[in-house]
Amino acid sequence: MGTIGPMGRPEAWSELEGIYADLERELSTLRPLCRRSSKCCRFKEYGHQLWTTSAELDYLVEHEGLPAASGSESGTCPYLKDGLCGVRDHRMLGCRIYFCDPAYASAMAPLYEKYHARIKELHRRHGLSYEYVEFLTAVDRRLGAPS
Amino acid sequence: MEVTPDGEALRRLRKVGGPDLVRKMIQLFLENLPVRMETALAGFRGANWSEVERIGHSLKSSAAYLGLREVSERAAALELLAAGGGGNDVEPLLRDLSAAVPDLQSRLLQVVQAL
Repeated sequence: MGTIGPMGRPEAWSELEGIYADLERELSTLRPLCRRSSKCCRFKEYGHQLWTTSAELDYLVEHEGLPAASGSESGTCPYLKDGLCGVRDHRMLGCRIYFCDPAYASAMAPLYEKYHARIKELHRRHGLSYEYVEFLTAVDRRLGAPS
Repeated sequence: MEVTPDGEALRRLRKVGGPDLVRKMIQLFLENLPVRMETALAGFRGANWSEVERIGHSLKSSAAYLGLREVSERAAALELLAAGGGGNDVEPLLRDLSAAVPDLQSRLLQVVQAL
């Protein structure tokens, strides 16, 4: 664990939480609809890929731990529990921003660009190595890494 | 149907993950595209609307990431129709999308080559 970025960075995590909070505020004005279909979490079935930054993955793993098993074979998020996100408070930008709502579709990419830029800058400011990684592959790497 | 990716969408992708991410996303899209279309057509022929809906959903978002707005819009319409149990508009939508595949492949390969 911790093969990508340093762990235990309360200042960085506090800033990341601030970025997520800003996003939530912005989303609350856009009010995209989530039908809780969990389609966005069943990557293989729906042909999605979830990409994330190394710091966000560190943040997730530090607060929620690694999943018991990899999701690579099923192609489903290993943190999905009974059709709902099991790590909602610590989920990544991609999970927070993605909604199926067609009325919101045009807002998604600019929003992602804006908040991703802030998270990338967070890496630089806190001396965290930056990687942009496909989520299931990155989780596999961590599960396979010697403890 | 317009099959040229929107430059702004590609610029965003490139800014987030560099040319490597753009290449990977296009390659994934191109790998999945023929299977998706075959699955959607088979679903249509067999009135398997949940499969058609699934493909519509999948194509909608993957096309949107690459700035393929018209493809994404048609895929969204397909998803919606299939979720409602089909309808007369499904066939022309599938026909449009299938007909666009060769041009899509060609355009996207040009983008990859230019990276």
